Amino acid sequence: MSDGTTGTHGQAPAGDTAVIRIRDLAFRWHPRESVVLALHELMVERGEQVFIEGPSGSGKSTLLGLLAGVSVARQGEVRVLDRRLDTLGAAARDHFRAHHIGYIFQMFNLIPYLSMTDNVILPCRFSRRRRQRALQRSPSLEAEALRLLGHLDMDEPAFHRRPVTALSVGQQQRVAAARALMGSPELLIADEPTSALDGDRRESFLRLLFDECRASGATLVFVSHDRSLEGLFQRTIRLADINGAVLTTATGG
Amino acid sequence: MAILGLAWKSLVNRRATAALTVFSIALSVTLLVGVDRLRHEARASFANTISGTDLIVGARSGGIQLLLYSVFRIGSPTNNMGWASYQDLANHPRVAWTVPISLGDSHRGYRVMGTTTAYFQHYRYGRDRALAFAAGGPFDDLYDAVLGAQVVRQLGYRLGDELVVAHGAADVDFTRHEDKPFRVAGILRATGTPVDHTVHVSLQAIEAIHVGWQGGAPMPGFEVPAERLRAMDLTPDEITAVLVGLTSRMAAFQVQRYVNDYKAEPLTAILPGVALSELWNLMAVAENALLVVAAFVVVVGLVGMLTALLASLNERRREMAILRSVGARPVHVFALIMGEAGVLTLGGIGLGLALLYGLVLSARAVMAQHLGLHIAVTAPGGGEVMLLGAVAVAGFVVGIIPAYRAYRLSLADGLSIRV
Repeated sequence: MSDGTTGTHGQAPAGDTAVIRIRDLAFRWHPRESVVLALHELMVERGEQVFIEGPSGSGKSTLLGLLAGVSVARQGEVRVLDRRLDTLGAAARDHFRAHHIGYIFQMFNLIPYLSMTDNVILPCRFSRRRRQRALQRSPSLEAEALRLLGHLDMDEPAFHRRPVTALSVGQQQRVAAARALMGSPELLIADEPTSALDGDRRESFLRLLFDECRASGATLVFVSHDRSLEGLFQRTIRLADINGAVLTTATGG
Repeated sequence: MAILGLAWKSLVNRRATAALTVFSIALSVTLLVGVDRLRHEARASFANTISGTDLIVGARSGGIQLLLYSVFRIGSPTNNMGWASYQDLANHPRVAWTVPISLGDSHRGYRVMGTTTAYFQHYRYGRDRALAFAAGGPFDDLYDAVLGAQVVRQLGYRLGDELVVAHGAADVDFTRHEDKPFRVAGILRATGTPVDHTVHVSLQAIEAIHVGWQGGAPMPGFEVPAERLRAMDLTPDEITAVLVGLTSRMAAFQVQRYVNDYKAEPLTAILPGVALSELWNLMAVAENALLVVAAFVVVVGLVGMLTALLASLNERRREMAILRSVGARPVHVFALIMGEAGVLTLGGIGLGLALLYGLVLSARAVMAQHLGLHIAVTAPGGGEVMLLGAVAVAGFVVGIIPAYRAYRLSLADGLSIRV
């Protein structure tokens, strides 16, 4: 497979089961600027839990923006769930993200004026598909939110009455994970979600996340600069090795 | 619709700022609609200074001038009309009633008006309101006087008190009718019209106090004792003007033409409603200026909202990125801010109206009593609905500015959160 792809399970298999397939990508923010991300090939299989490692400046954020359909590639091919994101319009990419992708930020994931359950239900407000999927599992959206929060050890009644801003960082990240999993999206993207957590909590958070992804059959793409997490994943992709763009300065991570 | 729910929750979260913004918009709306309503009430009240009178007839002059001295007691008539002409007019088949009035004297700054008791019966103001007595009744004796509410409030007379009338509008010592004092026989309720500022006496009394006068001064040696005058014929030779009621409104133009073509003496007949609205239009500039000022206050209120929304945007970029990550489109972000502007504006309009009605309800009794301004508690009229609509539209237009900025920011930021 691609250079720089190492992993416990060997090579990533190719074929129709690929959730992410990037080919001959060259991305630049502006037509007159230089290429910041050049990938000959990058593939992630359905159900995989992939660790994409890279120091800041290696193009992580750029890659995540492309996968989430916020940025669009003008050169090369970006397929997610067999859809060419590079040829979709802006509105279609937003809909695609709403339906198929759960996203976890590094920190401050929650909307401060919404309750914990409202934060978890939020994706269902923008995607009928995820609403229907959530309702297939539980009788109501609230029940599904509480079910997910329960799996992530966040179902204590004391949490529900408190504003989300009063939760600890670790608790906030677990609520964010519940939100990303709400309505069973096929792809979960996590952008350094553990960097604000200390060692023990980091690992317990990851184990919860793995379990939930496995239970819902979601593919996990986990991006971080922290190599110590590598061992927990099935496969690691070193972005710095496969990014063919010559990076002279570390801009944008 | 999910976005409107978010907008609402976001405002509830920032309730202190939101409440202040709503309150400042509400105050400006109260001022705007209040000024507009007061303007209409003042116009209606002014237009109803005299109602139920179909024509006012006086010596030939301009319509507004005749109105000014006969109704508002402002200025002086240049000429009087003869008693014979008055008799002719009163006997016209289309004339139902007449109230002759005679002006020229004053009492401590208030005009004295000679008239008949028909005045208290036929004079109407406001929406067909008749004059009412707070105490006493119409003049009965030759030297009886009936005082307007303001005269009593300022000069502190009570029933039975005596007062002396001065010749002319200025109260100068040597031209007082001191030998013939009047007794307060009645006090009128406040009307908010010039009636409040008038001392009413009978036509005969005006005639009586001028017996033995020539050229505006008493003629030495011709003083007639007050009691002897009672036996004399006190029918006046001249009066200042006549208030005329017709058998039918339709006859107004016919009788007006009769008066204007009257051969024996040059006379003028005016329709009070027409002359009043001509006079009001002279004041329309001030009235419109008030409304413009109130409109600017609304603009200030909305700029306050703009400031509050724009100031909040930077700290909300993280929120926008989160929304984008769960699938919100940039138009959703636009709609979120627009929704907030809409809630603030509509909340301000609603609270403003509530404030206005609270004010009207609590102040109307006082305004009716002291200003004679009767403000009805009615649903917002067509003009007010237009004003409120304009405020709402302005609020949404102002909301576009921060909403568009948030839209641009969320497009540029995408999912990357910058603090």
